[in-house]
Amino acid sequence: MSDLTTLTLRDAAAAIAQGRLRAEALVDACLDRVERLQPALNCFIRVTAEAAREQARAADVAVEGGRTLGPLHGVPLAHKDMFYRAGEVCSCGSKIRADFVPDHTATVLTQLDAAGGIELGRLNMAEFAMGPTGHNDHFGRCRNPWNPEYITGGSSSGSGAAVAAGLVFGALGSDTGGSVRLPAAACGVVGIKPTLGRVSRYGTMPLSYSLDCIGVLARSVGDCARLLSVIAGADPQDGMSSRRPAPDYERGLDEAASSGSLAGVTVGLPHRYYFDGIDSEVAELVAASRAVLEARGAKIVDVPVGDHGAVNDLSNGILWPEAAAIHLPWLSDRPQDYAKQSRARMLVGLGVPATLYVGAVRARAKLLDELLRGAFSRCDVLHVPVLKRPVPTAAETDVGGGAAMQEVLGQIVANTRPFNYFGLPGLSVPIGFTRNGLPQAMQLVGRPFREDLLFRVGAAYEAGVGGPAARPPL
Amino acid sequence: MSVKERGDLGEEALAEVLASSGVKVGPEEIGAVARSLARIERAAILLRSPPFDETNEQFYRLLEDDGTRADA
Repeated sequence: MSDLTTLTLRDAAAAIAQGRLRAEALVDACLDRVERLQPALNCFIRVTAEAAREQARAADVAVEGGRTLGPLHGVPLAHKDMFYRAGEVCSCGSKIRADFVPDHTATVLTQLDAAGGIELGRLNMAEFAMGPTGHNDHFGRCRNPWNPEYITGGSSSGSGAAVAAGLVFGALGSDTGGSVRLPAAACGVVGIKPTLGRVSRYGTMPLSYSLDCIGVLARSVGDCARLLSVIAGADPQDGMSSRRPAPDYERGLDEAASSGSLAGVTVGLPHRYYFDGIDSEVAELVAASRAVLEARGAKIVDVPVGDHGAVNDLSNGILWPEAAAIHLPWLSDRPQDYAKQSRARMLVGLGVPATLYVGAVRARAKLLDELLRGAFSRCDVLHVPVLKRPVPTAAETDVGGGAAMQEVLGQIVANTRPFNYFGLPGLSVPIGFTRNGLPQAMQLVGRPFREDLLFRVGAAYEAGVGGPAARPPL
Repeated sequence: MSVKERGDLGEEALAEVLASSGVKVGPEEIGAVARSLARIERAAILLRSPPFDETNEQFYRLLEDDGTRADA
């Protein structure tokens, strides 16, 4: 086998479990790649090479003993540095928590460990998951593997870049306003933000209790489905997690690859907001992706949506007061230790009247009900771009906390944040490249807990274009 | 204080509101905060008030119930 890191996650796990590939060889291949590319990409905050090699040897011993550890047997992973592991530093991408050592382990890490995954280290992220670009004043900017001058998207910047660059096969991220879907889109990988409550948040850094979702990024829809299957489900340690049993999200994906597999699936095209002001290159790519779905049997219909621009702004009336409340002691005592942009956004939270915050929270039921009775009564999934414009350069988005911040950052999250407000699942799937050589993505959005359908549509798309997106030539 | 009243505050008065939380805010920071607040406040005016009996819990129940209908 020439380059082990080009395998899919699912093929790698199968090869290891069947004794055709040693986990130690795969981990070494990934660590070699990390060593070579980390100086250019800055994906990792911390690499735990020896611990990973030790786990890999244990995974190989298990195979020799006839045991299979689970669906991620021996697969190298790494995660945004906001998932707690007892006794290990978890920086949250910040100076303030640079030395924080939690006393408990996130449920999602426990689940990935139990499934046989091997963690190579911790990935770069926006400070406290507060930025959508990939800038980080404390650990340095994470760079896009397709072109280091461009942003990775954020806040799960290292997750998007490391998966795209083939440093790991999958990564955890978090998504409060688009932080999984944006880096997935900008780096050309698949990312899912599940339904609010689908994945446990126990042992993860909070940003906004009402909006935070834990998601995953991988290089194909099938790989993403496997990772979500491992971490989805009820958690008695997270009272907000859904008690609904989690399905096997890989079920039906092979059938989805056959021609005509989307017969009976209706794809909705929102008639306003999500395409307002869209760049013409992006519009062409999105239209082409829609044509692929149609060719696989999907019916395309226009659907009405309400004023989702207002929904987008209103979600800031929830996000920033909640973030400011969590950070208030540090905002008072250690203001100099925040990046300007993080601080500027939380100051907004201090200014939102409590009655407005509560109103924004209470309005969610009615607005979600309108969306389900409206657009989703006519379609099974919504199809919109993740970004309305080509991926910008780092220089274009290096706005600090100044006057341009709201405008620039607002453009980036415009199409992702409304679905955090609604709590709905969203899948980002690569759909090609703009002339600047950077990837673009479609966003498939489903009814609550219909991640299975999103994966099926995404898999049908991948099959329709000849397989998962290409990897950058690194 | 109503939503509209806060949006109408001058920057100096807004700085006092923020400072009441115990966080020091520089004069150069107030303009961006005021603009962001104005956007949020405009959005709140666009959205109708929820019914008197509506609670946050109904949102989570709607998510669960809709998922259950999809399973059926």
